[in-house]
Amino acid sequence: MKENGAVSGKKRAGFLVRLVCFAVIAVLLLVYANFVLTPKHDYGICSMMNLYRQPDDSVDVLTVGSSLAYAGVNTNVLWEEFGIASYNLCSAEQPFWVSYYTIKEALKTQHPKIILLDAKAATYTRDYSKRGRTILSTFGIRGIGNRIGAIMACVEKPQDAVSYILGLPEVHSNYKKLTAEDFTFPPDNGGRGETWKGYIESDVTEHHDRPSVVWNTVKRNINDREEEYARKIFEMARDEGITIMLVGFPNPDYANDHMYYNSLWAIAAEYGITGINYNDPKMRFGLRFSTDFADWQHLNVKGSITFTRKLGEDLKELFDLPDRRGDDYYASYDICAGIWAEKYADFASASVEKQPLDWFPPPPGKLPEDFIPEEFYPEPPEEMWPELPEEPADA
Amino acid sequence: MSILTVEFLAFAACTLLLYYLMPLKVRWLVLVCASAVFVCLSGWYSAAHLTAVALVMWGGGLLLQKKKSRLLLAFLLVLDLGAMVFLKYYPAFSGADLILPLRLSYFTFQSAGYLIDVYRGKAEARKNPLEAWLFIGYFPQLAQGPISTWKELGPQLRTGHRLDPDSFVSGFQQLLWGYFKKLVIADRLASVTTALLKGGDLPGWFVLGGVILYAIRLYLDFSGGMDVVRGFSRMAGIELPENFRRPFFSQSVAEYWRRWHITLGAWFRSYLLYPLTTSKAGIGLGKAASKAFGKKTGRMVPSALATMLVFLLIGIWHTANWNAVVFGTYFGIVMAASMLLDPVWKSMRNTLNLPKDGWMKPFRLVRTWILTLIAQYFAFTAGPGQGLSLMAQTVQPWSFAGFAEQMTGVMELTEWIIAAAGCVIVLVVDILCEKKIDVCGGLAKTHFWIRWPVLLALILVIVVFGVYGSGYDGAAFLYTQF
Amino acid sequence: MTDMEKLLAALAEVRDDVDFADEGALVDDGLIDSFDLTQIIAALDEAFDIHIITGDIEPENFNNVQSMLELVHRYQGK
Repeated sequence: MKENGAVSGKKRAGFLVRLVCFAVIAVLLLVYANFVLTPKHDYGICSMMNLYRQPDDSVDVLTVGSSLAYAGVNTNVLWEEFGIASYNLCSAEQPFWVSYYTIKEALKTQHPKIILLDAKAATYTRDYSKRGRTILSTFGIRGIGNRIGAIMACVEKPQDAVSYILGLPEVHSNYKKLTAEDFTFPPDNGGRGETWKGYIESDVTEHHDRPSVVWNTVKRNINDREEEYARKIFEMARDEGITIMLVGFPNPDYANDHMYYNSLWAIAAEYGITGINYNDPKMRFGLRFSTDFADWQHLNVKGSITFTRKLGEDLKELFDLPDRRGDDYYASYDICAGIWAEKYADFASASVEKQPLDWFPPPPGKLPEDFIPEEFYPEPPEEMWPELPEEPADA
Repeated sequence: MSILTVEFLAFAACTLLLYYLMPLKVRWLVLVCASAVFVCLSGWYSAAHLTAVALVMWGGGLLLQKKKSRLLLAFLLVLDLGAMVFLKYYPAFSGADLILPLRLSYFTFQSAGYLIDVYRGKAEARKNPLEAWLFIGYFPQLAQGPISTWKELGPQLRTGHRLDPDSFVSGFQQLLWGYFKKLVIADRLASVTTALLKGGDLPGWFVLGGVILYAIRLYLDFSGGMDVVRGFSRMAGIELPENFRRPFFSQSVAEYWRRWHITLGAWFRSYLLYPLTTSKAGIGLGKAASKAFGKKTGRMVPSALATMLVFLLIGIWHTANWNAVVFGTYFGIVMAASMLLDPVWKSMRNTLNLPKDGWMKPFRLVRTWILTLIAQYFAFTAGPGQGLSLMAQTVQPWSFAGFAEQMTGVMELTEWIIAAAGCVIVLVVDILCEKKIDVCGGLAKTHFWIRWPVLLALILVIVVFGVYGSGYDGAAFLYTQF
Repeated sequence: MTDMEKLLAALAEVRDDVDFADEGALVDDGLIDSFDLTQIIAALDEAFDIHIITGDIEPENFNNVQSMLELVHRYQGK
């Protein structure tokens, strides 16, 4: 044991100052490590991270929801053909509680006129998010309050939240997959910075028959927590003066979802909110189930163009949305569309010339596996694969 | 609450903060409160058991102080150790599922030691029951010890300590070092043990390597945990006794056991071995044996027999199964044999004119490794049968075909590299310590622009490369279950 | 034969390779271990006809020959 009397008060005070400095540096280091090790993933994290790069108040239409939404709303078509400045703030299998917190976070810098809310979450039956989804949905949020709120809403048991809030316990084993890009701030995931608006294309085709949809009016109760947060979103939008439009994304596997959508529409009606369900069999806008889907429920590139054209027309008709083309403040949209046009030259020219897409050959044959992001968790890869069917979809 | 968790770190940090914020006189009460919270979080059953043991110890101590009664001591010890033996071994024999109070044996041993010390007049019985309670309930040592005597720990807990920068820094360094050993290396090597236990057609080199890695893992796991416990305590100005002194540098099995789990060995020596060998009966046995085998060998007979008994008990203390019996008996026989055969070795050395040191040193080192390694075959396996079959696999002709597949089947190359680098770092530090170079103290003395980057790097390495969090099965410390 | 000579003779029986007379920290420096200690106690028992109780087996009583002699004298009541 040391003789403590020997340590003077002055020495102790100096020591305390150094201790605090050390702690601060250590915490900063860990925060940075957390950032580096967080997988900058397209399917949720990256769209949130890139939102912070968008010029303030440069988004008129914010699309929020699941993978159906990020694969469906082609931001480039909205821009090129309608002059609508839109951003997809979505994550795979996003429940309404995540939508709620991500909208809240987005409102810090953006004041969209319209929020397109994907109705898909109404069909989810789980009242928590699985691990991979929790990370995807929350690790991009920079605001501490909203991040913790989203995490608390995602976890099954409150005590699980600690490791997500700290972050590193969940993502530290990602050191095996690090690239130089992970170290730069803000993250530049393969050039997807300001000039990427959250649309995630899927350039494969899976043949589907048009499903026989029972277009009834039966309502099936949606999960209590989904309902709770859907209402929170509606209330928040009301308070902020933002119009919400529900969107039912076209989906070959729609039959199961219909009765949940009915419920959601009814709840929304209480707030004077309405929406468009693009699965309506009466609605014909040229979507082909044989060529326009990437898999059992996601639109492919061609499908997203067809769908977004219809969506853009509807938006223009329903709302008074400004045409931002030519405005320097929105130059990033031009660049974004330019990059996309280069990558999908055929589709893009069709988009500009407003040609019908029917004559297109199937897109260059890529294996569907290409769309599966590289798994980075020690979990089965299915975890990351957006919305795998519980049973083979043969609709 | 395992000391691996973030919750424990937060808990420990809050305890330290409160400790130093309180007036000097009541600082020990902070430790009492923190320990009470900690114990209660481990379950009401543990808390009740610990408190009952503390009460027996407190009351018994006072009674023993008044009247040095052998009978009373015996009664108290039977009560104390009996409860542990019952809870620990009854399930093994009956298959019944008793709720086992956490870390039972450590505080039981410590309380028994206290009673004997009071009886022997080495410790003054405490009048305040809280002091007695804190002595066994002090939370850092609950998980894995060390087993302290009253003299070593009691007064230190009771005194309030002022914040001493030097011991705070040195404690923090030891804490980090412990987490490094445990999280980065030991837990990473867990998959090797898993692969060994899975069995199948394993090549001999893999079995031998796996057992060696198990021995390394056990050391890093246990001593790492000890570093965390001692490091935290030192940050609060409390010096816990050392439990590991680099056992792999031992020249003999006896020395190995003096450097491995030191406080447990000291407990058995002080409270079992000496009383047995120096009792009238022990001395008498020695005299009788002297007549039969000669003075020198004869006098060793009681020690040899007592040693065998102690090791059998240590073996059974680890786990109540046949492996433990094999393990204990093996070490007992090795130790007794080395003692009894010592005169033979000596005369052989003289005849052959072997040097006392020189190349004999590495020879003895390797001999000790081999002797201790044999026991490891029975340390992690399910039963003696599995241990023996692994031994048989080891001595089969080695085939290195499929070396790479075998290795990467256990874990990825990156993981092997991290584990190997960690082992090299620990080895270097241990060699330096063995050469009496104080690495920890030296680091604390360096200029802060060397010390801070080293410490920050260590933190980063632990946090990034440590095996913890949902991505991993945070393998619990191997020793807490004992 | 003085008590000291008797003591040294008894100690030499236990370990002939340790220079008991000149060492000051026999236990602390690890020159004698627990097994040597029990044999020293047996040897003292025989040489001086005393029975040392376990409570007195402490390093400070066995670190050098002077302390051992004092211990012996304490038991002999000198």
